[in-house]
Amino acid sequence: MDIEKLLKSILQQHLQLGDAVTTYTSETPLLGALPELDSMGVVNIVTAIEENLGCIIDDDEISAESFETFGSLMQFIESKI
Amino acid sequence: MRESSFQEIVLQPQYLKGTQGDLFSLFAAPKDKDQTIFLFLPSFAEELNRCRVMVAMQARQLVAQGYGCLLLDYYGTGDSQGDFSENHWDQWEKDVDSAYRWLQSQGYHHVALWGLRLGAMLALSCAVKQPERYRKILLWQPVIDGSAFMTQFLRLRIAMLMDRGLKKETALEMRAMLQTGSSIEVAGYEITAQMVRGIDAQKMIEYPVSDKLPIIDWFEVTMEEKGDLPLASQRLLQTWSDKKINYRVHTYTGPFFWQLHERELTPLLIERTLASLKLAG
Repeated sequence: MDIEKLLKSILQQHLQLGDAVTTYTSETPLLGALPELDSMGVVNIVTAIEENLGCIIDDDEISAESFETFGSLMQFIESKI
Repeated sequence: MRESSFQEIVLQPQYLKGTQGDLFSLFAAPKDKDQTIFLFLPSFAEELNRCRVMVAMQARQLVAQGYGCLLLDYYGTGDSQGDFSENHWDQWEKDVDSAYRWLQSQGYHHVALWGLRLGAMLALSCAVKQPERYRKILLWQPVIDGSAFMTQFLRLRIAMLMDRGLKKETALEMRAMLQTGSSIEVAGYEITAQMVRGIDAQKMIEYPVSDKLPIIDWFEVTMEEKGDLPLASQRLLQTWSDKKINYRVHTYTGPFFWQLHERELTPLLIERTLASLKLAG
């Protein structure tokens, strides 16, 4: 599975980021850096990951560390496969 | 039709009597009294606000085609009377009934239900109780499992605590807190045990659907054109097929407009909704 592609399309669809996501790298900061990523944004992304991977994410697993950068969120998804 | 001409269609703000207080609604009469009037049931909490533009747009398009519309705010939500903490599933069902009765009193007897997300679930819940009352049922992006929906909603509080670096809570802990009788605040909304209990209990797959129901048009966004529905929806619809329920599925692509901050339209959904009305049934 192409996790990078999946995550970019999830961010694009749920946060209205448009083509900006194409330039994202592992270091791109997310939480605190993107005004679009508010509480509702976080929840929608978590739900989208669950739906796309067919996995369940425990509430304890939702952490600021995972949402820190594009790379950390990719790592989080990898851990759920 | 040019965009400017249907933008001028007025949706009249008004109040109608509910069981607990006045309910705010936007109303547009159909071209003639025999034409179908769509009673719109919004979703829950913030989703209600975020979809307003898209819903008004669809409503104007329907009115331009000669249909009528009544866009309802449940008791305790939007511009209706009451406090948010007073609203719950059983009250919403009563509100739908109040709106239906108001339409009847005005001489409109061909009523269709049109619901978004949790409102779509509510539309079906009302329709299975009065299958012969409604002409048609339009389900936009229906929620099919109330407790999964509620868990996602409670996560807004988890995300908020995370964002502010506060102590973590889980949805399970929040449910436990509600059991003790205290309410919790999620995304600025006061959530009560009664509210959560009512939504948690809803499982669309358990609704006693029968062939007495009018045609159900189901609209769902997919990642790509002609993509598959989520597995849970497919499973549910299979049980409907087995029971010979009259339904049609319409998929579309576009933004998740009920989640987004910025005004975002999903023209394909409007187009497909209008197209479904031109189909027989």
